[in-house]
Amino acid sequence: MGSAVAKEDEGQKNKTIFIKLLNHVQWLTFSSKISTEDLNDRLTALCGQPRGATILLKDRYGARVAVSPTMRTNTLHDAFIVEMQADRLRERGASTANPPTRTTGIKIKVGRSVPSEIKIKRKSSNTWRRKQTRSCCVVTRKHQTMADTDSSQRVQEILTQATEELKSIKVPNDNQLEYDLGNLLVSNNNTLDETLTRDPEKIDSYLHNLARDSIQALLNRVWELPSERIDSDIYATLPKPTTRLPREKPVPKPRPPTKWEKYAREKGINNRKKDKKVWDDVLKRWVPRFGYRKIAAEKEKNWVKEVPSNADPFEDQFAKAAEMKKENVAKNEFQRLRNIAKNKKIKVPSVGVTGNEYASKNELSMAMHHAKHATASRGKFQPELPNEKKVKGLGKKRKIEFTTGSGLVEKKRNIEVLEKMDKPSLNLDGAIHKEIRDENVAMDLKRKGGKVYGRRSKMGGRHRTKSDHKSLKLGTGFQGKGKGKGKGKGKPKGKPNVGAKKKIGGPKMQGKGRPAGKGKMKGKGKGK
Amino acid sequence: MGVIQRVVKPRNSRSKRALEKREPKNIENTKQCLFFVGKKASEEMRRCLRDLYSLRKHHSLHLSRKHPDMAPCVDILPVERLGQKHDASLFCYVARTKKHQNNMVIGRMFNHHLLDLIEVDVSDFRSLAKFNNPKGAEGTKPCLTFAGPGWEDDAALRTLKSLLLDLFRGVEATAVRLQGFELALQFVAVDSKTVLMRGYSIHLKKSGLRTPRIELDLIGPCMTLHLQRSRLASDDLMKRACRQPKQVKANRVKNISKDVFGSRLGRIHMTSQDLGGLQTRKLKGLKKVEGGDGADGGGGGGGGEEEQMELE
Repeated sequence: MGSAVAKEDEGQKNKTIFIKLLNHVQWLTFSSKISTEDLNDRLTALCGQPRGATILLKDRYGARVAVSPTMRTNTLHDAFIVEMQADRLRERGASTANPPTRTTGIKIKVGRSVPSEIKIKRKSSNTWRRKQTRSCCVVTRKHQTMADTDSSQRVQEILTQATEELKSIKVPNDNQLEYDLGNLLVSNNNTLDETLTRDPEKIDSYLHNLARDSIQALLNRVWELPSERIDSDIYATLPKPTTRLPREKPVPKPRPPTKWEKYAREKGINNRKKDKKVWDDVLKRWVPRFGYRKIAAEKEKNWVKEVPSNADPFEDQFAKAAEMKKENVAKNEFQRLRNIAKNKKIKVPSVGVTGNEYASKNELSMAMHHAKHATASRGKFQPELPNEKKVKGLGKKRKIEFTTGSGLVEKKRNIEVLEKMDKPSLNLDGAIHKEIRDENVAMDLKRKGGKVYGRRSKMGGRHRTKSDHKSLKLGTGFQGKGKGKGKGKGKPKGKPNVGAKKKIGGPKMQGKGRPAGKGKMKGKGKGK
Repeated sequence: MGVIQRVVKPRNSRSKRALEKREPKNIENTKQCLFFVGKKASEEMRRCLRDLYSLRKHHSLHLSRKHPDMAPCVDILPVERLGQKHDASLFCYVARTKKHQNNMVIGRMFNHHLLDLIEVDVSDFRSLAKFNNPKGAEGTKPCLTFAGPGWEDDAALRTLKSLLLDLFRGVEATAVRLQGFELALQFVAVDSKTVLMRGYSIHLKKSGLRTPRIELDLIGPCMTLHLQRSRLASDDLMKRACRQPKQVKANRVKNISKDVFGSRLGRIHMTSQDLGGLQTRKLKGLKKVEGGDGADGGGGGGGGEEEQMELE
């Protein structure tokens, strides 16, 4: 056949059909009187298939073309396509002893219903999907020469082959596990296999299998969750976690209303949204409500200020206004900070200036010094810390005079000392006056009818006199009894000291605020 | 001389934002974790710490300086201070003590005060670097699995489970990308004092169905934790810490339901009505005649206290 065009030879009525194989087109001429089986044989020989194989032909539009002597003819360009696995066609004259398996285009449902697309993404999803459908839906079948008497047997074979190719996602005990999908957590509370856990060689694989099963069960559940597709990615919506975990910080308390907010709520004042610009009639334009432009506009408006009649003519009104504004701003700021402080329960004094946040080193050590003093009692003192430093600036300040300069001050002082020395030790005048005073007092009392108490009264010698109190004020302690050691700072109450009589020897004393005196003295003597 | 706690006034919006970040909130930030080394930790333990840090790369801080004077089990104050400074509520500390060469303390704090901590001794450590297989990206949310009955029974293990969950769960996610599962961590309680940890990478394989088949690959870190001392939170402290704000709790919608056909039904609660006393149009013909006629007098419908009405 030289010509590519099919023609029906006269008499014999030969037909030519063109068949597209892997990478070339073959033609086949046959007479119309041929039998279907013979035609099939010739086709299989052409395609390199064993004799009994079925050849499926499709035209270029995908429509099936039946193989029979009465089939229609075609052209080179309209060649029939053989539906076959490409690699099998290369093997021409393959031995019939080992019949190759090939796809036949049978769609069988394997296990569950198979959806048209598998949602596992690959680089070129289309090609993968095609492959997948083939392996999933299109199943291999053995050579037809095998006696396929039992269709169920064949189905069985197909199913086993299919399932072997695919791996199971079933987990045996998945309802025994506890799932927290929000946290992607799965807990297996079953007891572990002791023999395997003790064996260091087998434990890794045991744990591996355990983990695999748990994770498979978990992800099975995750895949069942409602999902959405965002830009070619599939996202599963996780539920809220069921395991209760402690918070990081306590629940915030709602902010308490400020003074203004309370007042506004009471009066029913609502916050109204303000515009950014305000119409100014004087300037006849829209002026911003705040900002530098507002200030400029104000300046423009108030280029002159009237001096009120009662004001000082030399006072700077502009400066006064500026200061008022500053004060207002400061007041506002203070109130805002006070609100915050109130919320945080920080005490702020209403009058005066608040101190520094961090006291100075000296201030802190001064505070420590005072604290130590306070904690000291009865000979027990707070131990000093290793790096503690003594405070500077305590004690009486001593003024040191100049050695140079005029010596007048020194001279004066020395003369005063001498004068004192020259003075008579007995203050006669003083003594006389005192006597007179005492007599007067006694007379007055007698007249009035009151009793005259001596220095040492009935109250067991505890009657305090002015001079006793005086010494208290000087801070040298109470001089009433004993050789006052320590600081009896408390104000003495005119109570009879019951314990004073006894306990000779021993520093222990009873009653309130008694100094730790060493003395065996009782009653007499004023002390120092 | 009074030291008054000054009101901190932020000077710019950046500092204001930083302060607001540290405030307690209804929906909290993800907990920050501090990873730091104490006294003389061995090389292995330091690597172990680094591995755990990489498992929780985001929301964690690895402090480079050594803290030789720290001993969380003894004195927790310095740790609390560190936590306050970095705004971290989880910590993982590694050290070497006389009794234990590989000591690790995992703990968490509530309001910058200790909530609970557990001290473990680490043995049989296999680092991430030892396994040559490819590992997933850092910061992925791992799948966690706990095996063994001890996790429910033992108090210390229950706390440890909660701690490990807090440490490794990452961000609280509302949705997860189905292709993104890369890491799986397994904690097995062999007995009440021993826990085995294993880390795997997840491979999704074809299964013929929508759900893929999972294959795991051991990538580490692998270690055995022996429980030592522990300081567990008291019941009421834990209760206080677990308290959730009302806003976060789900709101139950009352009086609205759906029937079998999907139409939305509402419920109205009425006071009991005296239908005889209703004001209606008076039709003479329908007036009740003496002698009892069964005529109905206006108004109808079912009375009573409830009425189911179909809403749009």
